[in-house]
Amino acid sequence: MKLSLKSKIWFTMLSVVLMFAFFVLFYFPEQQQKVLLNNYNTEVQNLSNTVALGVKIALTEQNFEGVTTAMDFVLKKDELIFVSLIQTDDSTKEKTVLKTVPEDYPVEINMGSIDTMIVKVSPFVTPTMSGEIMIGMGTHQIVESKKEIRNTSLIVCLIVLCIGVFIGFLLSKNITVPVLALRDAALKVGEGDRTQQVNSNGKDEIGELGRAFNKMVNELSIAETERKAAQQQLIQSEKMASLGQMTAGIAHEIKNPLNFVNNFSALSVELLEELEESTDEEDKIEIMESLKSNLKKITAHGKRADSIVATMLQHSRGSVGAKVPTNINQLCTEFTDLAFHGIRTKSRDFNCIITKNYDENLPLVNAIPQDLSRVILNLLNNGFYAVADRAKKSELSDYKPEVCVSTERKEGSVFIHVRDNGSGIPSAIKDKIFEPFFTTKPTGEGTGLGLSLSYDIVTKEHQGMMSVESEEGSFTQFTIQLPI
Amino acid sequence: MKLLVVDDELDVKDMFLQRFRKEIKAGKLSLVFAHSGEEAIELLSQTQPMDVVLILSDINMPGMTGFDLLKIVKDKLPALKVFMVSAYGDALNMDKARENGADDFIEKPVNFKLLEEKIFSTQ
Repeated sequence: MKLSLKSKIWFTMLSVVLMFAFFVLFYFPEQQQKVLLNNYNTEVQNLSNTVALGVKIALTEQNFEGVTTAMDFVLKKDELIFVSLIQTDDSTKEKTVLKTVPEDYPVEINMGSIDTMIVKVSPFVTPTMSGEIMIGMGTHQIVESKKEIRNTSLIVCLIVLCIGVFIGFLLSKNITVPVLALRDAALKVGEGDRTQQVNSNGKDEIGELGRAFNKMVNELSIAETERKAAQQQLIQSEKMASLGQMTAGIAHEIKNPLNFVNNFSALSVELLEELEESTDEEDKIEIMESLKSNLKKITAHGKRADSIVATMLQHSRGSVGAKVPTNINQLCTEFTDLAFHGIRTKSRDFNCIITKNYDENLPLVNAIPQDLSRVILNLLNNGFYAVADRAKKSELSDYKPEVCVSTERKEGSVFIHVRDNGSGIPSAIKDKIFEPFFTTKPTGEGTGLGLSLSYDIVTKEHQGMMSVESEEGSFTQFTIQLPI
Repeated sequence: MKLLVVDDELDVKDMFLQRFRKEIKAGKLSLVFAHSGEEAIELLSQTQPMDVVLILSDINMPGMTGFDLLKIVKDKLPALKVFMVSAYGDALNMDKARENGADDFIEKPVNFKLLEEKIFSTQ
């Protein structure tokens, strides 16, 4: 049975009060009455003995008036109901009432005590006769005093009840109220509210508990802030790490177009000099054509370098949260190349077939390119890591590492698949890979944040879905679903 | 003298043709191009082995890398000279190129005068 603290306090208080009431109202008066009755019995017996002695003396002295005097002795008692002189026949043992005061009281030989009357008998023997004195005394006084005790007990009970209720209220106020406040505050803290504080002025243990609770919540709040800051820093460092991974790719990607710009410019200068010197018209036309083509190439490669720098800047700037219509195929191409060149410079032996299988009819998707690009970069880096891992483990000459990036439009969504034929994900850890700080890579190689950040970017920022299919030692495919 | 240029960048072809137009016109040099290691291997297996005397290969290419190509060529046609061309002219790449039997290492952007000297000094 689940009882609240308040109910328990009241239950205890009422039990104590009820037990007290039972003792005071029933047990004590009963005991008291027994003692009083015992005493009264003795008293009546003594009286009867005294009268019997008086009667014995009077009869021995043949003083019959003395018998009356002895019997009248008890008449002064308030509670006296009757006093009788009974004669016992020596031979037959038959008893006869000789005299009763008051005379009209119907005395019977074998009378016993009843509720309202105590009857006591004292035998005596004299030379002339033997008999006994029988005295009946009322218990009115005892009944009265019992009533008085009852009444007093009742009043005491009521007072105790009042005190009980008062203590109950005090306990409730001092224990239940702060404990309930603590409970509510603890529940709210559990729900994530770290501003909860309880009233902790009390000097007792509950006050101490309250202060401890407040301290705990404050420290929790500070720890949480610190944790958030640390996490933010890690996220930033993950971003920087991914930028680092890109740097080598970027260097290659920029150097190539710059190479063309420089070479075609230099060649164009040479061609111009030739043009000036040439006299042959056909030659001149040919040179002019080459010049035109060179200038077009210079422009194209200049633009290419420019867009790479723009992409890098966009990536490093971090999320500004602005969604723009994005060409997913183009984004995939750019970052697949960057990731590939990145890993190529890092591990020179790395080799992998990259297949791009794009749906050419893909609509523009409202996305945050710099964030989505991080997801693609991350998935590709993971894919490259997986194929390199399998290649290292298998050492089979016929293993061909392959990473495939594909896009498709299906049921109002755009899907991006990144599939690798690498080492796969063991089913035991498949559920954990999206958890922050989970990594299977050696210390220093992964922060364990890549996939968890990617997951957040896809699900929270783009309201999309991210899932994984994998078979250990065979393949892994990540699927990103973005609503159009 | 026949040269095979292997690079995944398409404009390399135009660049080389323009740069060596005089030598080509004069019949001193002829150029063949491949856009990947795989294509280069195919070309080499088609033509007479002695036809091409020098390969200029990029290192960083999708699929078969320049180093892969170098290994295959040096394995099958050890007499064929191979110059590696790469944007990453760092010590590691150069060492690796030499280890794998490359005859020279040329850094991007290509210094054509130097390349020309090197090409004709192989004859």
